[in-house]
Amino acid sequence: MNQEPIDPQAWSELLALGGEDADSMVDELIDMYLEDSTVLLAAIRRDHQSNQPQSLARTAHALRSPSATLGALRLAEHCRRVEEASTREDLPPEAVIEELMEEAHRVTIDLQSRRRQA
Amino acid sequence: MSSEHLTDQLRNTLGRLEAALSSVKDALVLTNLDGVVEWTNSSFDSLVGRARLQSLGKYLPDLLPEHYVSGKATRGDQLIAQAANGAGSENWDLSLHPPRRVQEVSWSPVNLLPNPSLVFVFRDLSSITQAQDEIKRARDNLEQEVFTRTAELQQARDEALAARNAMGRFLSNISHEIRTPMNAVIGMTDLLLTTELNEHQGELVHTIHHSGDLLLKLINDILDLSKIQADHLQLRRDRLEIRALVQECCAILQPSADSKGLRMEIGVDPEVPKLLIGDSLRVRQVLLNLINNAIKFTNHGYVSVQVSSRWLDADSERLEVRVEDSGPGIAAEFLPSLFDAFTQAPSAGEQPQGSGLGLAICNRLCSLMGGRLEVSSQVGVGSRFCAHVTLERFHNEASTDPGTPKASLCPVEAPRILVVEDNRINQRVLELLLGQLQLSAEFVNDGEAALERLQHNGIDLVLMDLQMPGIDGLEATRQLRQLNLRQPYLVALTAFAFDQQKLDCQQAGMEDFLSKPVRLPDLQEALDRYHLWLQTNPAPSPQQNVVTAPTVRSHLTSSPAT
Repeated sequence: MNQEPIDPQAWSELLALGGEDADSMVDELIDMYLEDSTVLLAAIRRDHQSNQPQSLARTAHALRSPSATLGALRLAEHCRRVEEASTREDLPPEAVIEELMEEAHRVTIDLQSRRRQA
Repeated sequence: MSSEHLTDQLRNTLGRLEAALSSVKDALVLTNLDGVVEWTNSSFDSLVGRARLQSLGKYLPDLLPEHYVSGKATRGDQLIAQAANGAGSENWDLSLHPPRRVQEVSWSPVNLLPNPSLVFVFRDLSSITQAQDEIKRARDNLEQEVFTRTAELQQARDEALAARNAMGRFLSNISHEIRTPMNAVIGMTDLLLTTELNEHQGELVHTIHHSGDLLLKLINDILDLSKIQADHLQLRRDRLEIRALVQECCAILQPSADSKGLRMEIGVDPEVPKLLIGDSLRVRQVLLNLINNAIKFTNHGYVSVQVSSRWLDADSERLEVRVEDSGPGIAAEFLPSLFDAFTQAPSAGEQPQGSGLGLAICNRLCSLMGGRLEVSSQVGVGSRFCAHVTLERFHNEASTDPGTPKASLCPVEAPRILVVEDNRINQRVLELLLGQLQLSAEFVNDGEAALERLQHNGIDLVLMDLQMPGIDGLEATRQLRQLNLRQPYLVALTAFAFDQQKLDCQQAGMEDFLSKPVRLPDLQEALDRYHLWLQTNPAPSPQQNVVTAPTVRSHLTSSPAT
C-alpha cells in the first residue's frame, strides 16, 4: 500500500469528478470529512474505552467508508481491522486503536493541507 | 509685362486648351442660354457628322442625332431648359435595335457673366453597354441551358425511378405470390416426412424439402432486396451489444466451419463501445451473410472475423467488420460486379448456392446504415470483406438536449435512481459520479427511508448500501421484494466483496453488486448491465402493479470476487 496517507490515484479520480469545479468540490468533501471524522474518532475512542464492541464496529465502519472514498486507504484498512475484530465481539487491542488514531492524524493533516492548496 | 504680351500669352493658352479639349474622346459643346452653339470639340463634330463651322450659331437640339430615353423618342428642347437649371445627366439610346449605341449626356451651366453659357458632354457608352449586354445574354443563356438540362435529367431520373419501382413492385408481388404455395409445399413435405416412407421415397421428399427451403430463401432475399431498393426499409434503433452479436453469429455458424475443418478466429477491439444504437437485426444479417459466405467458399484454413470502430463525432461511431478467409479468392475482373444483384463469383468446381443476392443486400444495408461494403481478394490466397456502418453512440437520455425530440425513444430514457447510503460524503461522491454520466438521483439515509420512498413508485434503479444502521441493505431488499409494487432494479454497494456476500445479495433479490469506493468505470458498467437487463425485462406500464421476480442474475453469479 502507498506510504502517503491519501492514495494519489484515488485522489486524482476524485478530482476528475469535480471537473471545472474540482476546487470547491474538494473543499466541500474535505470539510464534511473533517467534521465527521472528529466526531467518529472520539466515538471510537469512547466505545473502545467503555468496552462496547458492537457500537465500535458500527463507528469504525462509519469512518471506513468515507475514508476509502477520499483515498485514505490505509486508514480505511485500520478501520476494517477494528470493525472486523469488534464484529466478532472481540475488543481490538489498544495498540490497534492507537495505530488507527495515528493514521487518522496523518490523514487529517494531509487533507487540511489539500484544503488550503485548493 | 505689356498688354500685348499678355494677350499673346492668353491666346497661346487658349490654343493649347483648344488642342487639349479636341483630343478628348468625349464630345463637348458650349451653347448660350438659348441653346445656340458657340463652341465644339472635334469629337462633337464627329458625333453630329458636321464641321465646327457648320454647327456654330445653330440650335443644339437641331444638330443632335435622333435618340431615345427609356425607349421613348425625345427631342432636345427639354435639354436646354434642364441644363440652364443646373447640372445633370441621362443616358440616350441612339438606336432601338441591337447593337446598342448609348450616349451618356451630362450638362452643366457655366455662369460666367455677362455671357453665361451651357456645357454639354457626350460620352459614348456603346462598347461598355454592349459588353454588359453580352455578359447578361451569356448568363441568361447559361441559366436557360442549365434549366433545360436539369429538366432533362429530372425526367430521366423519374423514368429510371419509375422503372425501378415498377420492377421492385413486380418482384415484391410475384415473391409474395410464390411464397404462399411454397410454404404449403414445405409444410406438406414436413408432414410427408413424418409418415412411413421407403428409403427412396424418403430421399425424394428430402430433396423436395431442401429445394423448397432454398427457393423460399431466394424469395425472401428478393423481397428483402426490393424492400431496400424501394426505400421501404426502416432501420430500427435498438441497443446493440456488438460483442454479444458477433459471438452469437459466430456460434450459429461454428458447426458449418467445424464440419469443413475450418478455424474460426474472432477478435473485437477493446475500443469498440460496449453499447451502441442501431438496427441489431440488420447488423446481424450483414454479419451472418459475410461469415456464412466465407465459410461456404473456403475449404481449408481459416475464417477470421475482426471488429473495430472509430470515433466519428459526439453522436456516432463508425463500426468496421472485417471477414477474411483463406478461400480460393475472387478474380479481379469479377470484383466490380460482385455487389450487383443476381451475380455470383464463378468458383472452380464449386456449386454456387443461394440466391446470389446476399452481397447485394449486404451492400445496400451498409449504405443504408451510412457506410459501405468493400472487398479485396487475391486468387489462391483468400478474400476480405469489410463492412462499414455508422452507428449511434449510446447516450443516456439526460445527456441529450431536452429540446431534441428524443424523449419518445424508450430505450434510452434516463433511469430514475434512488441511492440508499448513510454516509453523506459517499452520497455526495455518488451524486458527482452519476453527474459525470449525466444522471441524477434521489438520496435516502437508511433502509426504512428507502422502503418508504419505494412504495411511492417512480424509481427504476436503486443503489443500496448494504451496511446501514437499522434495516440494512439485505433486509430492506427482502422486504421490498415482498411488496406489491413495480419492482426496481437493485444494485448492492458494499466494501466487502466476498462471494458469500454476493450470494447473500442475490438471495435477497438484488440484481447487481458494486464494490465501494465506487469508481466511474464500474458504475458505468453496472448501468450498462442495467440497460441490458431492461431489454429483457421491459418496464410494465404504470397501471400494472405486479411483482416481477428479477430474472437476470448473470453478473452476480458469474463475476469473480473483486
